[in-house]
Amino acid sequence: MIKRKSKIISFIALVALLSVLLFGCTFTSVDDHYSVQLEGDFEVSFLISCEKVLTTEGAFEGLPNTLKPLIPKDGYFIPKVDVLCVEGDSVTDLLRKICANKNISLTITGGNYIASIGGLSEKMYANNLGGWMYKVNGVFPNKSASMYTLVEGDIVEWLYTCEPGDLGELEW
Amino acid sequence: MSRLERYHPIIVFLYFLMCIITVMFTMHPVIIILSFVISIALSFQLEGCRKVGKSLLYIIPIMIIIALTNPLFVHDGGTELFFMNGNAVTLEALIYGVMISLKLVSIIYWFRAYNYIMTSDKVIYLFGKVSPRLSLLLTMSLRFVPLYARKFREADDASRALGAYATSNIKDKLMAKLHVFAIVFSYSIESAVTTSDSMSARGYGMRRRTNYHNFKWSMSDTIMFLFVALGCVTLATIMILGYSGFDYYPYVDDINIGVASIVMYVSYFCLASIGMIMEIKEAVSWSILRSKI
Repeated sequence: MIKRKSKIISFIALVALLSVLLFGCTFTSVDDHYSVQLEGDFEVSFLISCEKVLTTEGAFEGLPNTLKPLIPKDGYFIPKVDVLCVEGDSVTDLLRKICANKNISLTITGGNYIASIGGLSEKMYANNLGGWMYKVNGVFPNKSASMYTLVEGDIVEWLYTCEPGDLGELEW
Repeated sequence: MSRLERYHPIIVFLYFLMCIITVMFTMHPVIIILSFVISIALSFQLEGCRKVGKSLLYIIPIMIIIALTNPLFVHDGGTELFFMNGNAVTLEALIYGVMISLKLVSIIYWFRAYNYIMTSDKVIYLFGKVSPRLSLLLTMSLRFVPLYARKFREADDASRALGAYATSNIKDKLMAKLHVFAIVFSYSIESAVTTSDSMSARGYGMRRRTNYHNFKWSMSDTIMFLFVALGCVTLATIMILGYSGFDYYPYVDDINIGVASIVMYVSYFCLASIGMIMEIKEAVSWSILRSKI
């Protein structure tokens, strides 16, 4: 009788804990997530390119088979477009909005690190190399993308690098 | 008493080693599912339905938890089901989680069957010459877990009979349980001292200590060795050629039904079920012989 009571109590405690955890999270359906409008105050140029995957030797063959048809032939997930951007948005915020608007899947780990764009994720070249880097106005800011605040007229490029140094980021 | 126990230990060891290693180093769903089904079936055959069925009942919640944890932390798949805190919970991550949990449970059950068959004398026979200390360490530490569990149950029952849990105060009950734990702890330390003295007096751990073994190599051992070796060689060549790779992200790969892949599935099935085939053969011939009495 007492054993059964303690079982019931522990079950209720577990359910309470789970519900507290779940109510702390925000759930959105797929349609809601991808229906984001780009509105804002000023214009910024934006592009996402995975050209290095197509030009580096052996990079395309090393991708998973189901990813190969998803890589755009010209190497641009998003060719250069002008988008509206809200005051105070960081590069990550803009990336999130644009990918949601254009139905491109995006994985951000730890709130800051861009792990994959459009299914092409880090470490897909030679099993251990490769990742996404961003340039603003032609230079690599060397800052986390969530710490860079955009101003009017910035040109943001997201590029996939295969080998260290192939985007010119190591030249001073 | 099973047929596998009567084989030479090195054959049985090789058989389990090959089955476990093959399933450990691949994520191919066909191999994982085959391994899951066969390892559980083998455990059923060796230990009986009731025991293994009960353990399955306890392990299913753990499997569900593992399967559900993967989509919460990995957001890489293509088909998104819904978004949680801005991260995608995807079908591919869920499938991968299910495969991981099946793989883990199948390895657990392979080890369970291995543990049932490879008793301590067999392990010492295999590894005694190579490293007496290691084989001693393994067999003793594997022995201690069920031993101390049993001792805890005994001390717990004795305490209950003495009325230690008669109070309805939770704190008192906890203190009584802690007391039982202290009893078992001091028992374990004392018994460790006496056990080690007795074992060193009898010469355990010395390289020249001989044990009595009656493991003879017979014709059936040769046959089993040929089967296991054949299965291993075909499996190894095909896996080295790369047919055991399988991608889950961004979309789940199609299951290959080319010739090489079918050979791989069939040879893994044959290799893994050798144990069960031997047991079933024995049971069938035994029932045939019994019906003639």
